[in-house]
Amino acid sequence: MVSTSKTQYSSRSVSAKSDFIPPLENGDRLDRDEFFRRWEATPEIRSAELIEGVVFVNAAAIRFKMHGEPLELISTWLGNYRRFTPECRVSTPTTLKLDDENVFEPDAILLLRPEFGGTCQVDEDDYAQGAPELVVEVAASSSSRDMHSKKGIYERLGVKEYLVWRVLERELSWFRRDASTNKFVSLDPSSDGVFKSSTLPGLWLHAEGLFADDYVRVLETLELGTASAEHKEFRQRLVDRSNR
Amino acid sequence: MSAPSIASRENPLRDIIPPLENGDRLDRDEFLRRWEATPRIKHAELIYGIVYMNAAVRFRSHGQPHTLMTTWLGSYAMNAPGLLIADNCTVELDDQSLPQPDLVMIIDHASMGQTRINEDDYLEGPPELVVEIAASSASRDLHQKLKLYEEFGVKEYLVWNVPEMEIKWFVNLENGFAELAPSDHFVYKSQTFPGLWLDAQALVGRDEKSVFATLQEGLQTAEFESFVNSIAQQT
Repeated sequence: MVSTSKTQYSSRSVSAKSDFIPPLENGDRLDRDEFFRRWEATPEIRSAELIEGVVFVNAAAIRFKMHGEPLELISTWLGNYRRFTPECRVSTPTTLKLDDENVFEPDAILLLRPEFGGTCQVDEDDYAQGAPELVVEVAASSSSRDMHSKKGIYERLGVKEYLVWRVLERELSWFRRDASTNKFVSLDPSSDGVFKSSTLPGLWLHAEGLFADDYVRVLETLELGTASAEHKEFRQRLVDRSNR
Repeated sequence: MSAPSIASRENPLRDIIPPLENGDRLDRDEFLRRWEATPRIKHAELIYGIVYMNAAVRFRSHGQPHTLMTTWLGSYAMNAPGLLIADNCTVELDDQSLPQPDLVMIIDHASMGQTRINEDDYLEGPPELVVEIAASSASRDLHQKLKLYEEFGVKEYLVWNVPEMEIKWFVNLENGFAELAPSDHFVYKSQTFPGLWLDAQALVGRDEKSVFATLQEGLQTAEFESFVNSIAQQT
């Protein structure tokens, strides 16, 4: 594309321009600093993401059955894992700085504390920065950006495991990082329908229980995980590592 | 890679049409199906298969400048039978892209124009002129949509970046979009629509009187007259 220099009349407005912070808008092409600057100047926007340098503003309204309620169950599940695994931290929903062009707002993240080898840290502005051990998104359907652009970026930028609950479709996708290719592959459930995290031993999820909003089954299955030998060994490994 | 999943046999949410959400990856049919199921959404675009929706429209940075552009363009088209203008109308470019530009102007004649109005009353094909009102130079109007309009052969593309007081007028040449250079007095002169003149300095300064005086000059040129005659002869 041929482009000429800016026409002169626009220079008249330079002083006016420096005071004016444009509002954050869908589809804007920005870097991280400008994204935060405009967002902070647009307080009515409660949720926004920067994906490969492009802004996506989320609807302020949150649906009950499609989002709020499923996320609450995920939070309880993760919170109970943390109860038995104090080496990790959990946050729901949270701003996550991945790099200069990617600032996401996942529904939930779980990270190992740095002294136990975690790759995501809480920075001086109190934002999570880096690749968490686990990211969870609650999506309406498989066409959500959670299953397209964001999945590829989580994979590229080092997230260890990625779980997407597609509520309307009643489906769960759980990806883990393959050690040889460094790419996401699907984590397959056991024959009784239980997903078992490979990065976070003991983090077990009963998918049918989740879909049925069955707290008891979800938490009972998790308790089997956190009481398992693999969970005990995992915690021992983390403690040994921090003492090294 | 195919997505692994556990699908449940019973799904009480099965019949819900998913709401249209920013960033969804959809094709044309699913985009229109979800949008039609959410009638409160007044503005949504599909750009290269990705959904973008706009928030509420601001007065000074959008609504008012938009009206000024509409009046300017309308004054031109009123004098040239065979041209049509549409405001905020969905344009079907292909299966992956349905932008909703602020303004389009088309030549309403099969032998001269490059668009058609289809049986659903949507505009199909690249309009001869697209006008967008942008809220900053970071706007998708100057990035994703600039590329889209260029690629699909929109002949001229005019963007008014209101807060930064900047006008960009692109003309589609053999190698893609080139910026149209204004005259010494900041007047842009359309190549596709002879006589469509825009005093950029007056426009960004909201000097409406001068904007319309300059357009009048354009309408009095011989080029405009012969353009109008050439459309009339086709009809």
